[in-house]
Amino acid sequence: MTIPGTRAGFPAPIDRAAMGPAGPAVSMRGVRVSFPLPGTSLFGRGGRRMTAVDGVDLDLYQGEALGLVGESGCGKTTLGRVLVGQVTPDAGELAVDGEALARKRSRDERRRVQMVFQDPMSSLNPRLQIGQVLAELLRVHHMVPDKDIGRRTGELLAAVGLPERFRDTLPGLLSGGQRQRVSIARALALEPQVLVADEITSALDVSIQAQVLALLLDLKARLGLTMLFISHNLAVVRQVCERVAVMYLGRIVEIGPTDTVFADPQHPYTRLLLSSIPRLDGAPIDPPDSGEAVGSGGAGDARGCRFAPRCPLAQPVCREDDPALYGPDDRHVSACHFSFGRTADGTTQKGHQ
Amino acid sequence: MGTVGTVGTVSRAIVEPGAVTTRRVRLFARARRSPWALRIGLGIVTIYLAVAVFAPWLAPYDPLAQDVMHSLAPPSAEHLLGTDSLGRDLLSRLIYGARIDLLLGAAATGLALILGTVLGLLAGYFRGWVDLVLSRLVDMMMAIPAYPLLVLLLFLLGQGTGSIILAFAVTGWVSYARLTRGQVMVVREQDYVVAARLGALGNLRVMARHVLPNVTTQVIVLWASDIVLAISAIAALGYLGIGIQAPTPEWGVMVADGQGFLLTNWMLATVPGLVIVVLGVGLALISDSLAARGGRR
Amino acid sequence: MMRPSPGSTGAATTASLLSVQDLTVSYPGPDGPVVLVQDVGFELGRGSALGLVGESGSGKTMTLRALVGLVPPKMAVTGSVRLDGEELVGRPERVLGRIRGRRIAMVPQDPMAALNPIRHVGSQLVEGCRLHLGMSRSAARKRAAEYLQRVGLPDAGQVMGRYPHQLSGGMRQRVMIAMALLTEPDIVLCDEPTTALDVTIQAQILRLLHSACADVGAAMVFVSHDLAVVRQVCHDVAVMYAGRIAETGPVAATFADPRHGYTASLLRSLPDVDAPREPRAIPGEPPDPRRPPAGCRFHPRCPYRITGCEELPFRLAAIGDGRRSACIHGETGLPEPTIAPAAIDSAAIDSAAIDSGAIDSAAADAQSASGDAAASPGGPAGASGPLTREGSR
Repeated sequence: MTIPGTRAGFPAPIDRAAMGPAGPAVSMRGVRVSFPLPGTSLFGRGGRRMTAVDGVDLDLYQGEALGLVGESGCGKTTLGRVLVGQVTPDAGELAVDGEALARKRSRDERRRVQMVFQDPMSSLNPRLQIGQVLAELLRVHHMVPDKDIGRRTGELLAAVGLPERFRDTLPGLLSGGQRQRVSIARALALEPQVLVADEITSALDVSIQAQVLALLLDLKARLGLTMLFISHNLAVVRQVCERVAVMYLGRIVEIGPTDTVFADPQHPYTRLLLSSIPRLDGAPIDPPDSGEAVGSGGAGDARGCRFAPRCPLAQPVCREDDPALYGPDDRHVSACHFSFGRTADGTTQKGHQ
Repeated sequence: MGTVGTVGTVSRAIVEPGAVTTRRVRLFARARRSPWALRIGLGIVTIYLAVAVFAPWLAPYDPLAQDVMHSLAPPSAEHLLGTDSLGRDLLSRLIYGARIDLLLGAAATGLALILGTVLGLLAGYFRGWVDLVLSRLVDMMMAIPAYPLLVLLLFLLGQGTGSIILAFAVTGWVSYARLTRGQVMVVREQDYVVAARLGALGNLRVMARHVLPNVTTQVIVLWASDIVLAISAIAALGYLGIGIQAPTPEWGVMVADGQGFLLTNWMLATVPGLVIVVLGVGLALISDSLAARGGRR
Repeated sequence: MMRPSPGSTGAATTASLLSVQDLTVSYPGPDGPVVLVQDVGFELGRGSALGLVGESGSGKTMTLRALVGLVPPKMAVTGSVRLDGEELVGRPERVLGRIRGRRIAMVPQDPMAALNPIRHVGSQLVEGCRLHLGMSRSAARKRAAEYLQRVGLPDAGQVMGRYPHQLSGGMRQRVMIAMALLTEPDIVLCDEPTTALDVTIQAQILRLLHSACADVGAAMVFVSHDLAVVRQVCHDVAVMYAGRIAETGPVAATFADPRHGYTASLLRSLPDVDAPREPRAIPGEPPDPRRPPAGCRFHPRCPYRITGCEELPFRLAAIGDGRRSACIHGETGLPEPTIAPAAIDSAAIDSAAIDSGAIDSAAADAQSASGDAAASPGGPAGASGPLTREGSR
């Protein structure tokens, strides 16, 4: 299946009808990633490992932005890197548009998933002009006939709100916000199906962040982009994403439509996150004193719910039984024994379906 | 830096590490970064290069032409710096010597640079067994003292410029490889390199266009100081009678030859020595300036 | 749990602990002095907390450092900073050194940079006690342990024996707070102390800062780019832009009813976790300190701009209720935005940054400004066809 090539003008919206069966655009199953801890033997396998992602199933639907939130060490960045192909998981399957991606991706497979990075200062080669960076990608993938490369580069820059003049500029002369736009243009140059945005506004000033988010929303609407939006900032995720997944210590603990999850969180960790965020109206933030995340290496040892040590609702069952993601319908699920009004004996309280 | 901690103690260290310096250090640092350092260095090296290039027009005599009748003559109108034991004009030999030393210094280190940089690039980029093999090789080479190895190689390879270049390449590649490997390992993790690889750009292209250009600054700095050392080494080897054969004019050999006449014609040994030193200073000024600026990028 | 009680305001009161006037920080540039902080003034009462908010280039961090003379050597500081009536600007390092740590302490953004990595945390705390309070070693150890417990590290003995890298980010920051408080200073300066922390840890640290300062009776100057954090912790706020204070006042009133174009624009550009909202970007970028715009420094980017703004001397005027604003609308309140963001004058933005490097960025911002300010609820212009300049929206 090929992506439409050089139509008049870019960007052209993706033709959904030509996309194939209406399954999820991206499907991840059983993804597990671990890294060797320093101090392990020279030849790898013998030593201790740290589990970054511990069995994640995730679907992304065509045209949606899925937010992936969590604090440091939760594995969201690693998961993003698995999707993009930079990190090879220890286990798990990954499919884009129903076609499984090989471990070692082909050029065409790589083109389908592109990434925009967090740090504007290191995301562009300081020695190459912007135009050269874009042209190189266009040329190597034969996106357009060689004679059209200049024109296409201009169109890409215009799509992210930068003047054509910037083609000949070195990144050193650009501001952080402008560099992020260039990064977005670079990611779009290959007309990917999926865009992974890894904390793309975290290093920007608030007012610039708003510009970049507005741009992203605009592009998403026009191009029908599917996006995995990784962020630790829940407010930003609220603006951008239709669905959100909350990660904790390598697992997804809650996932559902953003409005629903934020308005009525079903996992204690989600509630903790939301209640910890300072609000502009000065409502006092009063999360229960919850300590810090237990080390993320203990994936193998813990039997019960990972969040139990910090959880205000923890019961004996939580320490025995690792809860699976559950929800009355499959749209909003949570990995907690007491989500959706369930009680310890499995019955459901009134008020929840 | 002293202790850090409460604001009352070395408070500057919290906000600006390195701001606590002595006056002398600060002056010195400023001198290094002064544009004059670079200008003087470049000026010196340019003059030497010009002399080397225009040697046939500048030198009054053929450096190999002997005139035993007028050997060991003091400076005069005909021979501005006098003649050596075989009646050859010292000035002409100095001028032509520039060709030998500069060319040799640059070529010998240049080959080492190319060899070392390529190996370091491959090791740093691919890691894995390539890196393993290379690192062990580097360790081995570093365990062997450089100069004795150099001398040994030159004995084996025989006299002549080709042997010198080869011998230096074999002993010199190690520093470039280590430096490049370290830099490459850092650059490789930068987002723009990751982006290039995600764009399926092919390893060769990524290495050539994205990684290598961003590690060259440090390599050039190393090269500049390496040339200084190489020229000194060549001169020293010439002094020891290894490497360059007579009658080729080489500054080191000239110092050696002139040693016996220090009390009578002291210029025969000292002037070539001074010439070496000044070139060394020029190159050092350049590399120092580059190093001082390199951090600013 | 963190409702702060109102403290001092912008007006000078006799009980001011810290009185800052006309504080200016500049460094010599090729074409004359480049001013990073200009004529900053505020009052800080005993036990109250003042927030300094702004984005990069606002000068907030430099202001904080200038309060205690911690600016880089080549910078010049003029103006007045009075601690209990005692002038600090221009005093010799020796005198300032004694004041720092003893009467004014600092909690920095990155504890790893402030803690000596090869010494135990305990020894650094002890050193502080001995240096500033002249205590004996054993007395200092006891005090250090006591303060570690107060900041929520009950295992004080164990923590003291650890190296900084063996502690988590949150714990390190608690150590820094303990270090700052154990001399019972009059003022604690906080430089983005929670920016590097996860949000749940941030919540704990903010609460700690607030209660610990209250316990010790210390006043606080809290620098942050995060308005919501400042809202939680501070009584008063000073909003800074391009080296100057745009407005000051009690934090609740200032955020609920902003009286400066910048404050309002900034508030509107913030995403809200409780409600989905179209982010209203501020077009353009902050000005180059070498070539600030004439008049109000924010006017080229301001949607409330009217004629007169480009000549307005950027000076704070009292507007009642202990608030001050440098905006032309300060007293009367902000009108409806008079200029749609898409129509912000690109020429004005261009003129704000003329040197070779910045001219491209400024012009680009003008174009991107017209393209990106998400003012049109009707959605983007047509998707297919050759791309037209976004400014045609």
